[in-house]
Amino acid sequence: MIYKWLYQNKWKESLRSSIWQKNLAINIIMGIFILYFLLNFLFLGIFADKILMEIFPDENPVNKFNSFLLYFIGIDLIIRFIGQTLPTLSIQPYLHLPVKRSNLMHYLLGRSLVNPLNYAYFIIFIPFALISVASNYSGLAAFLWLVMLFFIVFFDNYLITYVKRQFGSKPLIAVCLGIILAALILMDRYHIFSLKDISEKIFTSILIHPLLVVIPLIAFAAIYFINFSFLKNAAYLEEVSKNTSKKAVSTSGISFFNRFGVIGELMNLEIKLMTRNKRPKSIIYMTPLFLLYGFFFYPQPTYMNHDSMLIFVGIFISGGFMMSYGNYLISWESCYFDALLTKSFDFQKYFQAKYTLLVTVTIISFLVTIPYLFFDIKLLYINFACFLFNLGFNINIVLYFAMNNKKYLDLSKSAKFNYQGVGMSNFIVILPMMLLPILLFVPFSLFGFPQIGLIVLGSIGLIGIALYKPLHAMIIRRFYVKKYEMAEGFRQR
Amino acid sequence: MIKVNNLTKIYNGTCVLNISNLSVQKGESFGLVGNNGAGKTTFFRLILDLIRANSGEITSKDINVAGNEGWKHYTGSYLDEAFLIEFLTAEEYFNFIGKLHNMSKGDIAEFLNLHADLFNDEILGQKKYIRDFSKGNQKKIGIIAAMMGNPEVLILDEPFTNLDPSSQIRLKKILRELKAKYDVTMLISSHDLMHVTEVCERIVVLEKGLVVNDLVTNENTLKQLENYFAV
Repeated sequence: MIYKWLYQNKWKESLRSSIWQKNLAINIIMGIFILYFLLNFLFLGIFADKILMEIFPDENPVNKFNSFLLYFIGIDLIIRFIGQTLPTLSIQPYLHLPVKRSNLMHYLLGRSLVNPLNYAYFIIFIPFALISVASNYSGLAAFLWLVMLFFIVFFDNYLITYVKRQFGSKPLIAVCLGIILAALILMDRYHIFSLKDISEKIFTSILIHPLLVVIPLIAFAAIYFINFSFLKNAAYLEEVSKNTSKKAVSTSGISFFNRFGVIGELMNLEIKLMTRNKRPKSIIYMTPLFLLYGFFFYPQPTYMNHDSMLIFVGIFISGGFMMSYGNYLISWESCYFDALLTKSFDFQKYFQAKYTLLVTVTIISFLVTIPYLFFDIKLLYINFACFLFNLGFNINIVLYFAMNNKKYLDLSKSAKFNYQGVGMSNFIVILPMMLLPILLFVPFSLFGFPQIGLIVLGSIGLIGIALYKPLHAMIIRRFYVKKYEMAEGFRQR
Repeated sequence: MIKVNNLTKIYNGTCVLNISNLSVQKGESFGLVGNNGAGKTTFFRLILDLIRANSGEITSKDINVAGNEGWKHYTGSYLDEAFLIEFLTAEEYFNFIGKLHNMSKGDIAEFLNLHADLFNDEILGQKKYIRDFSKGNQKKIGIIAAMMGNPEVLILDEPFTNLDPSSQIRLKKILRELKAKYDVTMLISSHDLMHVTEVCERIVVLEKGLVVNDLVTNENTLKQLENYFAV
C-alpha cells in the first residue's frame, strides 16, 4: 500500500514538474530530438542483423553482436556515471512520517529502475532478439538473452548508484574510465588484446547453456542488496543532504584583478560564480571541447573544401564560450540581482567587467587554436577573421540580448539535460551569431573571392571594436530600461 | 529624507499599494507593520527602485529614486536572500560589499569587529558558503552587510524573524545605537509588534496597500497595535 502512495506522489511530481510548464516550443523541439534518436535506435535494432552480415559475411551475426556487448556495458557505465543520480533528497519529506525506513529505501531503489533511459537500449535489443537471435538460435534463447540484458542494465544502474555514493562523482573518474575504454578499443583494433573475443564467448555461452542466465540475476540481486543495506544505514538527514553542503573551497579569486578596483572585484565575483556552482561549472568544462571542435572537421576533405562550413567552425572555436556562457550573462546572477541593483557601483563598470571576461576567454581560445594552421594555412586566416567578428560583433549581440532572459537560474543544478531557465530567446539569439558571418561570406566565396569575404568579416569586427564606447553606452541604456523586468522575473523562483 | 507622493502599485489589476502622502524625516526610525499582503515589501522595493510604480514617486533627499542612483551611496538595505551572494563565504561577501563602499581591508576588519557579539563566532572563519548557513545566520550576514559604508538610510524587511532571542536583543541594541550615534534614518518592517515598538519612534500600519494608522510610539502604542490586529 505504502509503495502505491509513494509512486503516486512521484507520478504527480513528474506530471507537475516545471518542465511541462515551460515553453511549448522547447518541449516540441526536445520531443522531436528524442523521437529522432529513438527511431534511429529502432532502425539499428531492425537492421543490425543485415548490417553485421554485410560486414562479416562468414560469421554468425548474433555472435558478432555479442562481441560488442562488453563495450556496450562500458559505455553504459560511463554515461550513467555522468548522468545518473539517486535523488535521496526526494525521500526527505517522508523520513519523519510513520513509514518504515526499509520501505523508503526499496521505493528509492525501485523508482530508479523506472527511469526510461534504462529501457531506451531495448529499442535496439528487442528487434534484434526477435529477428536475429530467434532465427539463429531458438525462441527460448532469444527470450533468455533479453532477460540477461535486462538484468545487466539493472545491474549497471545499481552499480553506478553504489560507486557514486562511495566515491563521489568526480569527473576525473569518468575521464579515467573513458581512457581505459578507449585503450581497450585500440588494443582490439591492433590485435594486442581482444575484449571482443571475450565478450563473444561470454554472451554466446548463455545462448547455448540457458541456465547461465542465473548469473546476471544473482549479480543483480547482490548489488541491489548491497545498495539497500548501505542506504538503510545512511538514510539520516545529515547523510541525505550531504552533497548539498560542501566545505568552502579556497578559490580566493585571482588576486591579480584586485588592482582594478570595482571592475576587478566584479570579475573576481564572476570567477567565483563560475567555479563554485554546478551549472556554470559544467559550461566551463565544456569550453575545451569547443576548442577541439576543429578536430572533427579539419581532417575531413569534404569540410575542408567548404569554406562556409569552416567559418561556422571558426566562429564556434573562439566564440563557443561567449555564446554558451554569455547567453545567460545576467541570469547567472539572478539569485542576487536585487543586491546588485541596490549597491552603489556604476553599471558601466558592471558591463565592463563582463566584457573584459568574455574578451579574455575569446582571445585565449583564439591563441590556443592557432596550431590548427598545420592542417592548412588558410584556417589561420579564417579563424582570425572569425575571431575579430566575435570580438567586435558577436560580443555586443551577447551583451545586448542577455538582457532578454528574465528567468531565474538555479545555479546549483547541473547543466546536463537542464532546461530550467531556458527560453526560446536563448536559441534565437545564437542564430544571427552563427548564420550572419556565413551569409556575409558566402557571396564572396561563390564568386571566387573568399579573401574579400574574410576581409569583410574582419573589418566588421574591427569596426565593432572601434565603436566600443557608443555601443556600450547603448547596451547600458537598455539595461536601465530592462532592469525592472529582469528583477521581476528573477524573483519568480 | 524620504517623501512619497501619490504612489500606487498595481499587480494584475489589483492595487497592492496606494500611499498618497508620507514622509520620513532624517534620523527618524520608521516602523512598518501589517499582515501578509499589506504591501510592506512592495513599498520597500519601490523605495529601492527595484520595481516601478504605476503612478506617483518616491524621493530621497528630494531626488526621485527611480532613474537616479545617488541614493545608493547612502542607503543600506536587506530585504531577503536575494540580497546575499550565496556562493561566497561570509568574509568574501563582506569584503565585496565593503570594497563597493571604498572601505579598506582595515576598515572592513574594524567594522566586523564591532559586530563580533552579534556574530557569536558562528559567521566568520567558518569555511562555508553563505548558502550553507542557517536562515538566522544568513539574515545576520545580510543585515550587517547593509550597515557597511555608514549608510544614512537603512531599510530592513523583517529583520527579527529567524533570529534567536539573544541576537534579537543584540540587533535592537545595534539599531538604537545607530540612531543615537549617527542619526541614521531607519525603515523597518516587522510582524513582531513588541520589537518594532521598542526600536521605532513612529509606526505606520498598512492594510491592503493603504496607510490605516500613523502613530508616534509611546507606552500605549503596543496595546493599541495589539488591539488593532486582534481578531
